[in-house]
Amino acid sequence: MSKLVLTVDDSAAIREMLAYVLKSAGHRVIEAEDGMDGLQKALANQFDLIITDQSMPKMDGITLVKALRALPQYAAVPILLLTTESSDGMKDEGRSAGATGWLVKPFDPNKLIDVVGKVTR
Amino acid sequence: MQDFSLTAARNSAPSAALREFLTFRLGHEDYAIDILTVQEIRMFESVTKLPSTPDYIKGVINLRGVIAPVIDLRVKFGFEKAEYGPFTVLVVLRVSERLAAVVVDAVADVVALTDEQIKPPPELGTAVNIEYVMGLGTRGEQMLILLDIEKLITSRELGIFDEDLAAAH
Amino acid sequence: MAVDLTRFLPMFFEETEEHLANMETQLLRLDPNAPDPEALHSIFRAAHSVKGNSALLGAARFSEVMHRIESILDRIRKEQLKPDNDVITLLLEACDVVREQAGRLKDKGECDEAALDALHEQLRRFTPAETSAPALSSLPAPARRSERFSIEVDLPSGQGITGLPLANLYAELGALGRLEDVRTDGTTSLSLVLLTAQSTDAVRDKLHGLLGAQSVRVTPYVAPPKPAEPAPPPAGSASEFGLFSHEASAAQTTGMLSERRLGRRAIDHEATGILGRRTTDRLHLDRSSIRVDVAKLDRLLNLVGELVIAQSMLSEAATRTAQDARLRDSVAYVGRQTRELQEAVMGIRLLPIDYLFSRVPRLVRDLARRLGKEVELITHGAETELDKEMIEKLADPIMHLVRNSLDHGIEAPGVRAAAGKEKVGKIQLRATHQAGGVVIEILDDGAGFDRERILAKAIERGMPAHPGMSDEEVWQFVFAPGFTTAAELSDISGRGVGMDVVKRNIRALGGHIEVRSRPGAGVHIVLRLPLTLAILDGMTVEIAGETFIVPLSLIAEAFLPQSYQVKTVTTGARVVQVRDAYLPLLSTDQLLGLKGKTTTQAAIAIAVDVDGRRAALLVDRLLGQQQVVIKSLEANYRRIPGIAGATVLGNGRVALILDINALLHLEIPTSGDQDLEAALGAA
Repeated sequence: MSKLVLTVDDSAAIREMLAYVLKSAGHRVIEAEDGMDGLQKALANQFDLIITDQSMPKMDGITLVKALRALPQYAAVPILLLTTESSDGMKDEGRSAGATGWLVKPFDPNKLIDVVGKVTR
Repeated sequence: MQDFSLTAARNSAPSAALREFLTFRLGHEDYAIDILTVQEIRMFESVTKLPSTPDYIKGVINLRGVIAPVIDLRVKFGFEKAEYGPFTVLVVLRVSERLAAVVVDAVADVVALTDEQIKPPPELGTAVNIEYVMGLGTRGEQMLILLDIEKLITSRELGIFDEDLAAAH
Repeated sequence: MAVDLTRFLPMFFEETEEHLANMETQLLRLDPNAPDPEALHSIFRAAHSVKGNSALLGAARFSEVMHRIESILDRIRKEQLKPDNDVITLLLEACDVVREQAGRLKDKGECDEAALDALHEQLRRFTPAETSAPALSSLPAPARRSERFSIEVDLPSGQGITGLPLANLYAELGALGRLEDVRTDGTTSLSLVLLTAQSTDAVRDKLHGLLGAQSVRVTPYVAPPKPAEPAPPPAGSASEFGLFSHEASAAQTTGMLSERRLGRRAIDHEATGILGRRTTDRLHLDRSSIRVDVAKLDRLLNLVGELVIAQSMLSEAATRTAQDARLRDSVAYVGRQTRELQEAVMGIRLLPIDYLFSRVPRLVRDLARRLGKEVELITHGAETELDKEMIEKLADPIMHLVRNSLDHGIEAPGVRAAAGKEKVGKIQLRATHQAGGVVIEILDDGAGFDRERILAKAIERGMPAHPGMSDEEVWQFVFAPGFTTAAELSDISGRGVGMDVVKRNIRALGGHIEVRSRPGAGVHIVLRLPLTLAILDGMTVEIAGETFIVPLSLIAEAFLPQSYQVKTVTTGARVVQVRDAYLPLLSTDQLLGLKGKTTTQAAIAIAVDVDGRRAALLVDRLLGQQQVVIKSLEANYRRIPGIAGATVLGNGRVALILDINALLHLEIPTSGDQDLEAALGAA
């Protein structure tokens, strides 16, 4: 089923790639270029899934997750963290902020679609 | 499930054996070129002459802001008459990301040919250098000379591109 | 279905390049004694992004190298390592190696592993123990310029967080600085941590204005005591993807998620009801820029050009036939709007010259080190905008001029001290908009040109030099091909390829170069350039029935040559006397292989001056002056000698733009000055 997905990353290349992969799986995508931009967009729309980078200007991914989890309408929406490495520090931070899962860049597009299907079921 | 990959996707093989050609007349012969190379057909208009160019380069025209050369193949291949009449038109070609217009006596129509209808080029007998003839097409009684227009336009012989570029083709 | 993702690769390479440039700029600005935490944060983020991109590009070696760089930066921020000259130099070199190898990877699909290994070894010197990559969020509280604040917001009773104007609040905080933490108990309060360069009062005022003074408290942030670092769990957990098990076993995760989703649905209605209205007006707050393919811009420019042509045809028809004043007014209005549109579209191609200036500090730093000189670089007007293509083409000449200033201009510290100058030399780069064009100046406070040496060298080379010449005339010799006064050739400059090339490049951009110098006080070089390469002020002329454009900037005057002014010299060439000078008289039609009327008395002469080389060109008729949009002829046809490009006239026809410099060389193919001199001598 088609989902409305918010992708947050300061790299335009990553955003385009995510949008390309997600759209070809039938999802609708809105892009944001940092945490603050993402938060504003999340307040203006109700997304079914949010995929966010960790390291960004203005507001990083962890803070975005916390800000989103503070909102009732995003208390239970799946949020995936895109990370450069799957270190334990990252996992601790992501877990305590309230993220649903993580995905290590470079992601395998098929895996991404698979994960999106899993968390939004 | 779709199959994504970080390596370039193969182009799927052409499915239909039918190919479409634009046919036109040069002198007394009927020619045909791959329709995919044709961008548009325009009325012959006055051109701006270019200095230090061979006589078959008639000049340049403005194609919606883009400057493109106009080539008179009739002059290039030494036809007896190269006149500009009411049926003379410009066939605008897009070849190797570049635009060029070719003067032809009249455009006939678009024909679809199957592989069986295309025969190998004859040893001799066409005004156009055999090197640029892909084959002969037959449609009923009519014989069509299929031009490899991309090869012709980018050829060193025609010299409309700079050497380095022409050499790359 | 197979989906090709390779088309994203160029974007990744481009971004990697940008991140490296950003790192370099920030590194050069870093103060070794008091590194700015914000700058460190920015360098760190750039390095981290490169690391991320390299993983995407399949370059594991890059990741390792960038990981090392991150570790070094981490040590700097922890004040375990001072970012002194050696450290900065190493990091800059690392940027170079990564950039070069990224280029190789892009072009050849592989990189030089040995070079990366060597770099890795060098970087290891500054990272004593193998450390894991530091987490980004643990970056320091910038102590000097920015600080962190705790912000406590009371939630409206009964409404919870949704009772707050959240979109406005977050937008305001985003404008103030970087939001670093958000916590809420859901019913009574929202706690935020903001990193900002603003004062406590400014933050307080903003929030009081938005939420009311009663419900907000702003206090300096006190970091909670850090729990002891947990022992790293055994390796092997490094999977590509995973779901967090929130206080539940992994098996229950999906179950928990769906319960949460049920909860969400119940809240949905009230939440969207309140939020929906307030958010819209703040949404576009920080949409600052988008990336556009230059080809798309050019297409837009083309379309607007076509519109201008269509408009001028319409305008012509309207003035010819329309009795109706309203129609004429409307057409005139469309005309003004069209021209404004054209200017606006051209404006898109303009970029700040900082894109170029920002590359100079690195050059100056490296070169000064190698030459053992001390130099301060000062730039003014980095925000001055000019055409993107122009910026790219100016890079080489400007780099060359700066290199010259450093190598030949600025003296060694000892020499400067002996001359009573400050030990540290100064090089200034200035850009300003003047009279519809751009002026770029390169100034140094070095030794200045050596008049005697240049004169001696010029005489030695058989150039028409004599001691009575003015300074301005003497300086012109430095632009002669192969001219150098350097005693020994260095690999930096002074190989004699230089100033003539610089001059030619500036010329090709439609600009001028001026030189001023005072002994002991330095050299001042002025480049005057048009704002864009896309537009030309031209004189339209007729030759052999065709319309041609002559760049107005090269025309000295136009006149009707009288027979007594024209003389034929022994070689058969003609010259025309203009006041006290004889100019070669060239038949433009013959040069171009056309048949005009230049042999008759009806022709008109245009005196042109290209870099001091003067000539008179005969044309059939002058048609007028106009600004033309320059179009490439080479996009679809080959180069034609004597033709610089083409344009489309108001009637839709193509007109060719003459390349005057090339035309003069067409006439006299060998390096002509001597021939010219001979011709003139004979006259």
